[in-house]
Order: sequence, then structure tokens, then C-alpha cells
Amino acid sequence: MAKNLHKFLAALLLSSQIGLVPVAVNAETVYQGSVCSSRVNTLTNQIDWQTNLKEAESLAQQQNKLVFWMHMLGKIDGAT
Amino acid sequence: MSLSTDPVFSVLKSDFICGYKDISHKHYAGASGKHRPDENAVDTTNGAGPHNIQMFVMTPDGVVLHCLPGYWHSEDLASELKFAEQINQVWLNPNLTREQKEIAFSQMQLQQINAEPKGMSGRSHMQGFDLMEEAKKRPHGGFFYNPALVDQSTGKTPGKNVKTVDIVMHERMAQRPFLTYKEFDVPKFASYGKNEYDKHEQFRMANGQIEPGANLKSEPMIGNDPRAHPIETQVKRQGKSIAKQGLMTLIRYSAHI
Repeated sequence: MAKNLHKFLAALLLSSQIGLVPVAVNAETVYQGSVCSSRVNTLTNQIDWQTNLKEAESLAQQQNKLVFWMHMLGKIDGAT
Repeated sequence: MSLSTDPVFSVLKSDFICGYKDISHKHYAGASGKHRPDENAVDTTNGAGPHNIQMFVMTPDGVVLHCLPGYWHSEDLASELKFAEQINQVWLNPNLTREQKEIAFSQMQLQQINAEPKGMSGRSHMQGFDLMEEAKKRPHGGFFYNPALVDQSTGKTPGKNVKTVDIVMHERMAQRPFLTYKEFDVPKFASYGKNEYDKHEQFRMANGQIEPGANLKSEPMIGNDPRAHPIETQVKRQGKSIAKQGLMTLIRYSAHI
């Protein structure tokens, strides 16, 4: 049991060092840049983000879907 | 950050046409430190940064079914998207009049407060600096059950007197049944908290602490902040200076006539 606990803690420590596990301070989790970069790539490569609302509405009409339209500072694949 | 993680990522990918607009030059936008995609990010509470992000769910003809201000945790956003789909069923119901639909919309928004996923309320507490802003400047802004219990000079109020952001969001939406996107009053809807939201993520070390000696003022900004538009700000300042000089010259000239 103690051996397994040590292995688990070692794995957790290693994971946090390479940025895979968020390190929580004051109940706020900090995600390292490599994790963020990977997630932005996922978000922008696997979802086709429209930048023209009329076109988004037209696509939604064609595909019988709703529109998720986000106001944000900056670009979704750039600095925000 | 939350959009790229499940459960909301899968929901967005399969059920929605997604799009966005850069509002950094809009008058109602807030400001934030500017962060590249490969820089650190900090998790936060639901509704944080309302002036910087607003997420709309709309019908294909531009009717707003739901709107969420600020950041939302993946599981909570997924729940709200599902809720918006239920609102859509009301909108599409041919057996209801417009008036009946609007009443149903408002009722559903308020009822959803008690139907939220477990833990959502705990993830929706306002950031401390936002709470202080509301207490000192807008005690009647909807975030306090009893405004009379808010000490505006100190910003203090009993914890139980403060509503969580999810409650206020649904209450504000209940007052806006089936508005079109063009009609939707974003500035008023997203008005709470401080205009600037920044956690200085790129200055944080792996343990979450700010690096000793970090020059926070050197951080690039985005949105409605003079530091985000240095050239524009300089031109405006020069323009004001020139205009002032011109006016003084005119006054002196007029005095000699």
C-alpha cells in the first residue's frame, strides 16, 4: 500500500513538472503555457470558428443547429 | 481554456455552429493583460471577466436564447448550453403565442437556478475585487439580497447577502425574453465587477505565485485600456494639447481685437 502510494506521488510530481497536472494555489489552478498551447490547437483545429455572424446563421439554418457566438478580446487562435 | 475541455468541447463540436467576434475596440469592452496561446493561464470562477467575454446561444435567425457573461467552467457551460436547447423548444413550439413563450422563457430562467449541476453555485462566487466594486458602487445592482446590509464605504456585507453570478445571470436573462442579437443590451447585461480583469498569468511560477521582482506594469494589455493602444493614446494626447494651444491663441487674439 505504502509502495503504491509512493509510486502515485512520484507520478503526480513528475506530471506537475512537465505541466500535465495543474498546480493549484489559493484554489486557482495555473496551467502552463505548453498545456494552453495544446488546448488552443485542439479548439481551433477541431471546431471551424466563423467570424461572420450572417454566415454562421446560414450554416446553422442548413445544418439545423443553434449558433454559439462569442464576444472576446482578441483572436481565438492568437493573443487574448 | 474551458471551451477546449470536455464536456463542453464535445457539445460545441457536435451541436453548434461556433463563431466569435473581437470586441476589444467596443466601448463596453473591458481590459485584460494580453496573453499569447503559449503563455500560462489561470482557472477562475464562473462569470469572471464579464466585460471581456460574452457567450451567446442563438437561433439561426438571430434570436438570443441565452447569454453567459465572462468565463464558465466546462461542466457548467455544457449544462447551460443544454438549457438553451430547452429554451429553443419553447421558441419553436407552434402551440404557444409570443406572450406565452416569453412568460415561459422567464420562468425557465428562474427555475434553472435550482436545477443547476451540483457544485455550480460554489464555482460561481464573484471574485473578491468584483464584489468590492459592486458593494461600493452598485449595492442596488442585483448582486445583494438586501442592499441595506451593504456598507458602501468599506464594501463589507454578510456573506449570505451576496448572490452568486449564476443567479444574477439567470435573473438578468429572465428580463430579456427572446430578444434579437441586435436588440440585446450587452453593456447593461454584462455590467458588473471591475472593468479590468487580469491574473498576471505570464508572471506566475509553477507553484502559482507571482515571480519575485516581476514588473507587472510591463505587461501588454488588450481591450479598453490606454496601455492597449499606445499610438492611439499618444495621438489623442497630442491632439488635445494642440487643440488647447489653438484655443489659447484664439482667446489671446480675440482679446486684442
